[in-house]
Amino acid sequence: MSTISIKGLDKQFRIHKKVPGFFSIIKSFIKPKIETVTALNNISFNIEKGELVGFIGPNGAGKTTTLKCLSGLLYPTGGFIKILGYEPYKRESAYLKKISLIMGQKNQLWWDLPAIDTFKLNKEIYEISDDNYKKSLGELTEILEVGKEIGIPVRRLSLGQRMKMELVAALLHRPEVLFLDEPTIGLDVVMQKKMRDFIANYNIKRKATIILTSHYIADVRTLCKRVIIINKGRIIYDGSFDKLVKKYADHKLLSITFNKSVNKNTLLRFGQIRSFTKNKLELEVDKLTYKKTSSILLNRYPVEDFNIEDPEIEDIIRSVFEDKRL
Amino acid sequence: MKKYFRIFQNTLLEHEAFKINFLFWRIRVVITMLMTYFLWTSVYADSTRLFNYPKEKILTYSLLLVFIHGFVLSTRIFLIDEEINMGSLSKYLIRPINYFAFHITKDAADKIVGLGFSLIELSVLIILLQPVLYIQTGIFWITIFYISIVIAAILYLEIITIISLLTFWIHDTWPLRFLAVILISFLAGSYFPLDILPRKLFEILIYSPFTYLVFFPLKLYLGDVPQSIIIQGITVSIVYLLLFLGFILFLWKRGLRSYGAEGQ
Repeated sequence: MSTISIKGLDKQFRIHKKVPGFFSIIKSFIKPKIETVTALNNISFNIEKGELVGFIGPNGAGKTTTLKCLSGLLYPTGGFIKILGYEPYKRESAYLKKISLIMGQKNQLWWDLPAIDTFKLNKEIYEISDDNYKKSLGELTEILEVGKEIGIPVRRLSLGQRMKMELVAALLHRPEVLFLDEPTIGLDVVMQKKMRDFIANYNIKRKATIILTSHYIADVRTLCKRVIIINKGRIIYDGSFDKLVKKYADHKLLSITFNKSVNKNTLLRFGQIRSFTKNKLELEVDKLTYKKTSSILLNRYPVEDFNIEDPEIEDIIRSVFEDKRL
Repeated sequence: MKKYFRIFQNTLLEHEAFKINFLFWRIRVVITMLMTYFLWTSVYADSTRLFNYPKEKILTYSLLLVFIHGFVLSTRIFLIDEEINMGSLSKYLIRPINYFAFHITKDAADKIVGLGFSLIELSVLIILLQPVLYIQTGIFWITIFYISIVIAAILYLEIITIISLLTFWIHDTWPLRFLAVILISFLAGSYFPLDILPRKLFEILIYSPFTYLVFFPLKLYLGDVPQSIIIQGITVSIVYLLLFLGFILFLWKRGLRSYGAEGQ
């Protein structure tokens, strides 16, 4: 049996539509306009134990709503969810003790108290034994390098330190299933990398099943072999990240430096010019013809430097979202 | 049980973290006590009995009122409203903890701190001002007084919880809460004893839950209540307590279904 099993998940919200103008407000007070918005439409997937899956999509695609349904925060309008044999929306203690949801910068830490006070509380909430608590706390604070800061009131910590403390609080009970919603948002590049390393390590060490949403493609690229792409509440791709790149990377990026000035118009026939400043050119060329095009450019133009690259992952994802066939 | 003890402990630590705020809160309580004391002393300047109350009983009523205010009518449970609106309710829902028990424990810690300090302040004021007070010595009256203020505190907690839970459907409940708190203070007998109101009005009010928040416990302390009224009062307040509890559970169950966990 899969650790996470979702079939035909639907979620609709009833939204009170606000209208401008004084009389319209009064009218809407007497007879409110209620609109039904579909956030999730027939979502189905299975995730096996120990998988680390990237859940990506543009803003408002339904990523966070899905995670909220999986963690039991939202009641699904329709469909079926089973995680570790539990139905999340029932919010049984036994289920809640096996999962954790980490949502970006939102916190469960007591703002005016040192993080250690929240950790002690979580020890009691999750009924962690003294030994396991000491072991988990020691491990987590060591890996995340926050051992010295656990006694400082949370409000005095930097964002990065707070995020690390959030992780400690969320992982003390060693959850089997982890929902990470934008765990690196707002962090600097160094902290983002540390956070990624930590997630990868936790996944391997604890054999935890993890679903990760992120706007930073680097998070997904580094951590996830499998990605699920969601757009407008529907799943539009579920499969290997490598296959996705192969399928949608339909062009190569040529970066060329010329040693003399070149007429831009003569370059247009080779592909799409992304940028052309001074003697530097960035050109998008079809993947099927890039070898031939490269040869022509090298032979006919005064090339000083020439480089061929795969497109950026962000571009690939963008082309998936723009794909009308999906 | 240990988790609630830890919540209790963390709440006390929060008070400790805000010593200055705490000090100002206590100063406000002392000023209120003094104002009430001087107001009633002036009213009774030329007589020893008004509104059918002797001076020592009205002074006792008004000073105990401040103490009851701190214990019964002060709560942070209205923060539920903000937690639903801002989506921070989610941080409780994803943990194996009872949301109401969490807040009630926090409230209990607040009340115990408030109670401890108001007893000290009241004692200091009594020593300094040496007012003529009615000291209840009957064990029965003192016991029933304590029982009634515990019921009152739970009733008030329930009323504010009900208003706050409406946030699941109405996005801003603070205007409603503001209005309710003013009305409740009046109907509970926070400004004056309710039995100085016209008889007919008073007879209606004794069937409202608000009477049992302030007026009823204070009357029990003063020992002016016939046995039949004690039984009636305790019965009415327990009936309301159970009704409100049922209503809270209903609202909570329905509310969670429409909870959008927005903002998180």
